[in-house]
Amino acid sequence: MNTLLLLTACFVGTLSFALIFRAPPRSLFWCGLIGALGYGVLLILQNVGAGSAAAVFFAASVVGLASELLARASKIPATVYIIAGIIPLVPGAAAYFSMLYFAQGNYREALVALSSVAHMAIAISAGLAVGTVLRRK
Amino acid sequence: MSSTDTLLRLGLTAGELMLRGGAEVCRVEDTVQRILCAVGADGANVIATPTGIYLTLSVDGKLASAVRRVTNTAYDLNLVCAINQFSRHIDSTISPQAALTTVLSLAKQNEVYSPRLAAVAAFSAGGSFTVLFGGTAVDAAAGGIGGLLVFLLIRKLSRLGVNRFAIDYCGGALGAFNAVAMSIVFPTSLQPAVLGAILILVPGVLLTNAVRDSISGDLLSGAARMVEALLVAVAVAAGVGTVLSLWATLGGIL
Repeated sequence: MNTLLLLTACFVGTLSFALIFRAPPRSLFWCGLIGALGYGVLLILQNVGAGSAAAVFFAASVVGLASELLARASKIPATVYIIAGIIPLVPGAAAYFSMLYFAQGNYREALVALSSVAHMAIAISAGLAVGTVLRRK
Repeated sequence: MSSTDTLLRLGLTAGELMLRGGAEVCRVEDTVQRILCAVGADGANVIATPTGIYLTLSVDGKLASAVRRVTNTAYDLNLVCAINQFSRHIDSTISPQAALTTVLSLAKQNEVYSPRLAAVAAFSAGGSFTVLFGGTAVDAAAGGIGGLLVFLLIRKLSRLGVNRFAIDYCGGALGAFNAVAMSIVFPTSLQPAVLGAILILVPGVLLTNAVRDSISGDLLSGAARMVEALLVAVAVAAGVGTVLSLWATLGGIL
């Protein structure tokens, strides 16, 4: 699959998502950009062979830090950018497979997938925390 | 109404609107404090939690307190920004009553985006994320329709005052049902279309606020929101799981 297509889809998707949560109009473009940035970092790290939780962790810290910087420049709370930016990092596929295995009664596989979902959710939280703490010192 | 009453009302109203709009409690507390001190209170102590606001004012050497229960959330980040911005420009030339009127008028003109535009965004969000999860163009159309349906369902059910977790369960079920129905009629694959459709339900606001609340020392709110995010995720997953299990039982291919 073409990387450029994925990043474009990510930009449009994140921007639309921000609009649904009524982000201020002048922040929409940047929300989309932050979404694509975080996902781009994720793709690069996965390409060089980082584990999925580590990749998500670093992508989330980049999102957190970029959001704090943008917030300072645009005088819009960082939360607006972060909420949009972490959406592409959500471990949707793992969550789906976990659900699927539960539905099929395949509990061992389901728990494996579920623990990877938990891993990545924790990685997102920890990454965001790093971004925020770095900004506040 | 005495001026202390107006101040209390002003603080609670601004705080409630921000909390419902999806602000971190730290921001709610800061903003309310800043507004109240600017328009005439000598001091203000605010404690905001995800479910309510406690406010104590000191005016002319006297203390006054009030509490407001905050129930339903309706995410509106633009309103959060607007009140936040207002609190930074306000000064003592504005009377408490005028400030209250301004805050209420900010809340009234909240339609930054028309409902139709939001529906288009739900379609495009669903479609785009379907592509991100490995979907083809046909999958994206199915995911987009799913996203739109889930969005309309959420809006309808929240207007009826349905419980938050029930809404998320129904949303997950509808998203999965749409993807299954589409896969029967068209050559679409199930997984990307389900994921694209239910992405609107992901508790991203809760997770973000949980992390930021925890870091800024609001441990009560941080923990509460983390649990809420978990419950939302479980509700959505249960909805999806119900439909997929039924489909598997009926002999459908997952």
